[in-house]
Parts: sequence; C-alpha cells; structure tokens
Amino acid sequence: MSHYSAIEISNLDYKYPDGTQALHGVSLKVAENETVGLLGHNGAGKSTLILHLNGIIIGGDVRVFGTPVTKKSIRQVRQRVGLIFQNPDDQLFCPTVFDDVAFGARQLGLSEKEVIERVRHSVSEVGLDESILKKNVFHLSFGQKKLVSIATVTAMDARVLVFDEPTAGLDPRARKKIINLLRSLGRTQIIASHDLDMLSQLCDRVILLSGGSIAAEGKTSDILNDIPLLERSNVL
Amino acid sequence: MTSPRAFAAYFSAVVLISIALRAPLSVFLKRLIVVLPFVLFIAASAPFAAREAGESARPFLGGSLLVTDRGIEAFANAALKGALGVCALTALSLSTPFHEMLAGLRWFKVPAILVSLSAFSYRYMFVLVDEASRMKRARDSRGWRGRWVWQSGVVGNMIGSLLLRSLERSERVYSAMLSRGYDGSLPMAELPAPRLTDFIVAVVFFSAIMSARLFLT
Repeated sequence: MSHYSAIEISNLDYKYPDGTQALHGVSLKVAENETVGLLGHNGAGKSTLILHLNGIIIGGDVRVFGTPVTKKSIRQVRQRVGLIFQNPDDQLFCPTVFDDVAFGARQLGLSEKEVIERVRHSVSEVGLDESILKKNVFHLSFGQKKLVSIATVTAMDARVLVFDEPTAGLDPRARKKIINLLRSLGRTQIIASHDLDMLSQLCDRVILLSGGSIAAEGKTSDILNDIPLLERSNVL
Repeated sequence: MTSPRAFAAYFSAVVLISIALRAPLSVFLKRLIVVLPFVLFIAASAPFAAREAGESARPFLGGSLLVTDRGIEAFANAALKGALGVCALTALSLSTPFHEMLAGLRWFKVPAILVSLSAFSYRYMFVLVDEASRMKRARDSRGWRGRWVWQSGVVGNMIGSLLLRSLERSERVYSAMLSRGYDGSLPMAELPAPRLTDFIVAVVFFSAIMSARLFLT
C-alpha cells in the first residue's frame, strides 16, 4: 500500500446544483501518516473538498490508497477515511454515547463483542472515561462532544482522519487538549481550519485554498509566514 | 364501556408501580395538566352524541342541547382513559431510560423505521428546543415585545427559519451518517438479558391487568 498516496486528487471540479462553482481544478496528494492543513477563507471550498474525501460527494478523480472513490468502492473508502464534522450535534445522532461510537463499527458488520472492544478502546484513546458511554449525548459539554465525535471515527479504524474546524468554539483549555490529542492520534490527518496557531503546531504541510482553487501549498512555516500571500488569498 | 371497578384496578396498578418507583405525585399531576385539556376537548362532544329513539335525555344550557346518560358515561370513559394513559406513560418514562424503551419497541417487532424515527426525534428534540430558545433570546434582546396578532408575523418567521435550519441540519446529520457507512439500518444496543424477577413481575402484572379486563366489566 505504501507506494500509494493516502489521498490523491487530480483536477477536481465541483459545481453545486445552484450553479455555484465550489471547486476548480483542484489537485493534491497527501502521503500516508502525513498531517496536512487545509486553509482558506470562508466559502473557499474547504468543506466541499472534504465531502469528496469519503464519497459524500462523488465525482472527479479522487483516490484513497489508490482506490478511486466510486459508488462501488464507497464502503471501503468510508471505512478508511473518517470525517469529523464541525458541529458535534450533527456528528452525534444516537440516543447514547455508546451507540454513537459503536455506529460505524456496527455498520462494518463486526460482532457485538468486537464492537464493544473497539468502543472502549476509542473512548479511552481520546481521553474520556468509560462512564461516559451510558450518557445521553445531549448532557455532554461541547468539548466532550468533540472528543466523542473523534472516537466515533477511530472506532471504525479509519486510517485517514479529516477534521473540519476541530478547535472552533472551544475554550483555550479544551482547545489545547484537542491539539495534544490530534498530535498523539497519529494516522494520516487532514485538518481544515482557520486556527493558524493550531495548524502551525500540527501540520507538516499546508494547502491554501482560495475561491475554489489551490492558491499555494508548501511547508507550514513557509505558508503561514507569507503574510502578503495570506492577505491576497483573503485569509488575513 | 369500561366499568368503574376496572378503572379502579387499572389506576391502582399504576399507583403501585409509582410507589415502587418512589415517583413524586407532582410529576404525574404536571403531565396530567399538560395533556388533560386536549383529552377533555376531544371528549367534550361525547355527551351530545346522537341519541337513540326513546332514550331519555336532559336539557343542557336552557334546552338548546340534549345530554344523555350514555353520553355522559362515554365522556367520563374517554377522560379517564386519557388520564390513565398519561399516568401509565409517565410511569414508563420514569422507570425506563429512553434507549431501553427503543430496544423494547424493537423487541416487540415495531417496524425499524418507526423506532429510528423515535430515536432521532428524541435526540434532536432537545437540540431543537435549545435552538428555539436561543432564537427567542436573540429576538427579545433586540427589544421585541410580543403584542397580539399584528406581531405574530415575527413568530411565523421564527418558526419558518427553525424549520429551514432543521432541514439543513438533517442534511448534515445524514452526511455524517453516510460517512460512517450508513446503509439504511440503524443498529442499536441490545436489551440486557431478562432476569428471573423480570419474568415474575411481567407475568404477575400482565395477569392482573388481563383479569381486570376480563372479569371486572
């Protein structure tokens, strides 16, 4: 597998049904175990791009570990690529935390014993106590919901984790916790965010989107220190 | 028509359960107050229902309407049944966590789509209420004073935008489900295996209710 990129996209266009051109000629590669930041102004196409990564939107040439994302490969792709959405109330839809973390693992058709094992492991990996499993999602704090959201994806044993604004809306303490967690999670990570400080702490490389196209990409420090570039791309 | 004795038996069953749960009476009263107006409203037409030939009837409100004994009985019957239903449901909700209730519904072979629907309603009811109260707060903090009909447009707009936001949220939730491999089935935790006491309680309770149903008519 290692000779394939974790994610490879070439010349991707996407137009929303209302005619808005969200992505235009986007090509990128993300190597296995790399952490890549996705930076761009509001409406630059970050979310649209993310939705292509595990086939919520299918179209164009998107490959995951060499496998093209098509209707046929969708199950495999979704097991490998986990999306963590910005709003945990969208991500978490089951009556209890346990059911939510177990959801993806059960969809994979694992035995209940394996499911329980994975749920326990994922919850402790994100630093939560097992007592949280019985709770109603509604009773959790925002920070806890964020952590549970991550566990819902790692329980599927996803090898690529895609985060949409992982630190948005968190207090400094919870933000620090998430940053440390992302660092310790390993795997391949794609992090879409405006949190420049977090990107500089976590990412090997940053891809800068502007108006649906890639404006620049390179080493994190090179991109984030290029103030004129960030201003030109409407990020700053 | 259910006999007073049967009603007494049903109500005492609910009371026994509530005592076992140590449920405060106030919880039952609160729920009754919320639901009873609807029940009474529906039952209100019963006393005036069509009367059979030769059946005696009393004038009501100066004789413009006639009320039969049978009609009054039907009214009491409907109102008591409503109250009984509310109390029984309250006892159920106090004794059983919601996700176990869902598992129970599945055990009773309720169609999966209905169970999923209840699960989602329960999950997002709170989110929706939260969202509505945030909108209300935002509205009030901009000096809104609720004044009768001519300002009801504001409330209409709020309900409309709540609906749109919910639709958008449902799309996002659906994306989140798809991205974790959703294919139409919503597996949930199984019920814990029933213990001997569960069986005993179920059998005793069921036979008591069924005897009341069959013999106290």
